[in-house]
Amino acid sequence: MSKFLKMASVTQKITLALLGLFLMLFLLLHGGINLCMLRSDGGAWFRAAAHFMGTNYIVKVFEVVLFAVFVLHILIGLVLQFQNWRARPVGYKVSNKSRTQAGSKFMIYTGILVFIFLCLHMVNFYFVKLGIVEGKYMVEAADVQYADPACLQQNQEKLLALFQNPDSTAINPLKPVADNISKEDLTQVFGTGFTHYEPDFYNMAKELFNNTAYLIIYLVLLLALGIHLIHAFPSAFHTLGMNGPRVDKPVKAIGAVYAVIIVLMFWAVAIGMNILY
Amino acid sequence: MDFTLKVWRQEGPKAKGRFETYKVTNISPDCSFLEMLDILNESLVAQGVEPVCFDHDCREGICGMCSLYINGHPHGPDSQVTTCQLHMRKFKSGETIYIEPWRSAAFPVIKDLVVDRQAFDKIIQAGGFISATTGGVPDGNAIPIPKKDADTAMDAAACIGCGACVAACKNASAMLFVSAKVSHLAHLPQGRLEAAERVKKMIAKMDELGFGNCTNTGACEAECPKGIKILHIAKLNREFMKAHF
Repeated sequence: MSKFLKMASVTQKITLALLGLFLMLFLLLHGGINLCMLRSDGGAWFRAAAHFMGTNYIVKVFEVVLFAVFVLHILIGLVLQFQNWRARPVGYKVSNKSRTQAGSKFMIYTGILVFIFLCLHMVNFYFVKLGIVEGKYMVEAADVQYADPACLQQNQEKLLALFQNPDSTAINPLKPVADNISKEDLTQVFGTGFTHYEPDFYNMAKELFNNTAYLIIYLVLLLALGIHLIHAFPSAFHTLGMNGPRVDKPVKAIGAVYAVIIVLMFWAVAIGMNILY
Repeated sequence: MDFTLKVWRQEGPKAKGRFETYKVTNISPDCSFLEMLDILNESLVAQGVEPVCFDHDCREGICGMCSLYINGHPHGPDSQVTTCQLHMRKFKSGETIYIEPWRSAAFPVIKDLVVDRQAFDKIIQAGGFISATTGGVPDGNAIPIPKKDADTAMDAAACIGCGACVAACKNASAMLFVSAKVSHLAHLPQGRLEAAERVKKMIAKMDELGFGNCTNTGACEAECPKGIKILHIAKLNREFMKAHF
């Protein structure tokens, strides 16, 4: 880190911009997958997409890259911000009234809000996948869409032992209650095609979006992301030197359109899930 | 016109400063901001009070000496003028005007409203020049320069180094100043020869002196009395990247 701190400010900014552009591409992908939730197929498309993203080896590599990009983007952003605060130890009595680009004065604050959202999002979804947080809904691996009914019939007793909730006597076939379930037990109950359990992100998202408090927090934090992006996009191009008299206005316009599309895409899914399902 | 002035007073670099309130009356709308301060100082001297220190020199907007952060704007509320070119008719009679020095770690206050802007000189000394070859003056048209490049270089060269960009920037960044100098010389064939060295050295010096980092807010462009565009900052970034390949 100390070596990084000695790097020229412009080098740090260029790195921040490149990492930011990578994250912007990721947002498009994530938003696109989320849109699958709006199909009235009980989440089949969305689960298939989540399964692909969770099991494909190329995606797994990118998952690590993405994580590193997030961490670096946040760290470099903070380092630059602390340098910026240090550059003006005594502030003005009258706050600055200069005309500035939309959202540009609040990048660290919108960034912090996005980080809070990211933490919330990790706890709600990603950590479930990693097994750090216990998920409420589990689904069988998508290559086995449904358990073999014959197997279920034959192994009624075992099924109850594995899945009956002792408190409510209700059976949730998607979430085992016993701790020591072997793969053999599961294949016995569900049939030989069974491979593994996956978190059921569709039902998890559905439940969260139907919680009004969560929905409001989600919409507000997504708006903060939008404000972050509206400046982030043209700013990244500017920092990378890709700006001039002819491209200045188009870059800003594309940035604004991009930010609006991202916010609307995520909002549509959140509000849609709340209203439709 | 009458005004209530809230002026930053600070005895010396280490002293703790404070705002003092002064009333000025019967000011002509055609008076410049600095003339208004002269009138204030005359009355202060007559009262036996130490006059307010502020920087000024040419009083025609070309030397870059005057500064002052007035009501939230470097060089006051008018656009593309220096404080010495700012007229009192831009204010409402009876208005309270806050006058503060440039605030930046790299521009320490010397006294009252006077700040030390030697940091800019140090950045120029780090590379903001063309190594001169002594000898006879060459013919003006000996090296042909496209009109477009000459115009862009001239736009950048309009920078008077007043430091309003640093004062306006929320990060107290000197990028507009440095980019104007880098872009000016990088657009001309004489400056291209040392372009890579120049940009690296000037940025290193800028970082060393404790200026903040550019976050492309555009506040500097909005306040620059010479209308220097932040597109020069994009040019600086290009030059910086080019310098490493």
